[in-house]
Amino acid sequence: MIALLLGVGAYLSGGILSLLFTRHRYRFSLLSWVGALTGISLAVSGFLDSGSVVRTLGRWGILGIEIKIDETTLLFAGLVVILNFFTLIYIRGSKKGSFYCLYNFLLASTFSIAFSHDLFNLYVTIEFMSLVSILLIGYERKAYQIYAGAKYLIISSLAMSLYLIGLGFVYRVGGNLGIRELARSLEGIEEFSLSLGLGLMVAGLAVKGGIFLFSMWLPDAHSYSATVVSALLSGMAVKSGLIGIIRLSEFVDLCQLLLVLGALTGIAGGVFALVSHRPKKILAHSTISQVGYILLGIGTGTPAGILAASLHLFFHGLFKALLFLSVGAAGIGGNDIEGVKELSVPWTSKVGLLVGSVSIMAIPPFNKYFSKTLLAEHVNQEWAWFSMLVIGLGTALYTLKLSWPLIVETRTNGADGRDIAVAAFALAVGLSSFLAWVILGNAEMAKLLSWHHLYVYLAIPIVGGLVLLGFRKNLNRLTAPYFPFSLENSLVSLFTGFLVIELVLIVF
Amino acid sequence: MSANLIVSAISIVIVCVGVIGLILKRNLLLKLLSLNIVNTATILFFVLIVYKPGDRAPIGPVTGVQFADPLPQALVLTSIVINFGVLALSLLFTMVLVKRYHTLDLRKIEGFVKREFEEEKS
Repeated sequence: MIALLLGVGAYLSGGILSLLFTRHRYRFSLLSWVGALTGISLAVSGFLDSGSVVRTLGRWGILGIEIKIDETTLLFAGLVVILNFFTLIYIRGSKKGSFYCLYNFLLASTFSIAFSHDLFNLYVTIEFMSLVSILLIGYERKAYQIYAGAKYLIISSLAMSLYLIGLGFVYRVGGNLGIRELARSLEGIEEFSLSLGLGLMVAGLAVKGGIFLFSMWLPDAHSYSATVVSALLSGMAVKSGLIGIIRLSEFVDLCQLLLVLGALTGIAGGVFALVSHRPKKILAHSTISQVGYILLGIGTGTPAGILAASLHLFFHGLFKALLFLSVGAAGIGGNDIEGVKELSVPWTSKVGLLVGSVSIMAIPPFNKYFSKTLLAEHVNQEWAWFSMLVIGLGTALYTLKLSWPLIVETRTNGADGRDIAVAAFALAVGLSSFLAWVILGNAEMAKLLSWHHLYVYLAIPIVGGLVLLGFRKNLNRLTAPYFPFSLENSLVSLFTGFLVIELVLIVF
Repeated sequence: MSANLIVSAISIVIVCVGVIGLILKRNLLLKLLSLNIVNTATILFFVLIVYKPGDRAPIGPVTGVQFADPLPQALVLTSIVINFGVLALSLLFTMVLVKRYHTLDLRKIEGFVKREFEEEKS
């Protein structure tokens, strides 16, 4: 409990202080990082002592707000703290006080989402997170940023209304907002209004969580905003909706639905990433495709599957933020990928791109390999495993399409102060596989590194490389259509997705 | 069927009206108004669906009376404030876009924005 208060309090006060005393904004932000780091270490030590716990905040008994500390919480809050450190040294001295203020507020809201175990608290924190991130998207006041922000604002406000309607249905049946209490009171109840309400809540969270058909605002918002903002949004803000879905799946069975949505999201995101041409657009679509894996992990419905999903959520946050920062530090985020031959890229960005690309392609010693194989061990349906292979192939293809020209075909440049942050971050991402080893232990790691997995997951990037070698010219000629991502069509696709959810929930 | 249920069904109809406006109107300002209709109708729906007949306001030291549940009240108040914030922010964004392009037509704005991005990056 103290961990949550310390972290959120540090971020909020850091934000306010850096707005008031603009000259010391960097120092205050660093101090609030130290506060959050202390908070997360307290939470980790508490977790090691007594395992996962649910507590109620405040002395109002059943009316208090539930918080939970488990692996998912710690991984997500840890991701917030790590991303905070590296993005902070990346933006050092380059932004105004108001930017630092919003930046710290974004961190505060995501930090509290990690601990939240209460449906209404989730609503408030997610809404706060999206308001702050919309302000950050439009921060540079360029027209395309404002437009992307407005689109996000309209869709997400509608989504949260859907969530609130669903919450009304669930509250009427369950009579509670805390998830532990709800799990008790909803046990064995099957009602039409309950499944309707859950469908509405999942639809609302899916809009925040980057799920295909729901999050059509995402590619524009993530690729038009400033580099740090893209890194934070793709790395952690999108995950808040997924944390909400993990919490929902604790008291209700959503397995079949999440498997269907996961396969759809992963494959569709990969296809759109493959036909995009600007590095940031590719990375934004790739976020959608990686969310597919996380949904497949939650959809297994087992604790091990959810651990795999949380690990993947953590690792994806790291390498995606690294890829965004390396592309942004080189200043090529909006360029066409075919015309980069005359450009020069600092060596640190090349290192960052290299580490990020091998991570995202799940090549063995790097972090994503472990979360992906853990997921493959626990996915219990044949077709879901097969869709994982397809998503993996898509990932290999678009990653090679993105990073091969940027690493090999450009000139190499020297690095300055800001670029060193990228190199340090690349090192941290490379070393993060040790964390998988710490969490999973020796026996599990040996199982994940067996030949049985290695054959499959080494073959995928090789096949991807060969395909790209043969068809690169043809691939570059394809362009992604824009119409699914316009405001009206994304609203229509939101409701189509909602119908899909209800259909799956009622049929199974 | 109680009057309560009928009114909550009507509020769902109002939500649908808002959604239809949100999808079909091309004018950005009308879109925001439709969004506000959706949000307000949602709050109306929430108040009605958690209401139990016979609830009294939790004021005064009266015992033996069924008090209204305080959780939904806190929830509704918070979401009204959030909707206010959303509306203010979206009007600000509309103002910036209108100052820039002198139109409220969303498809025209979309076209302008896309062209401007292409020009800046090439």
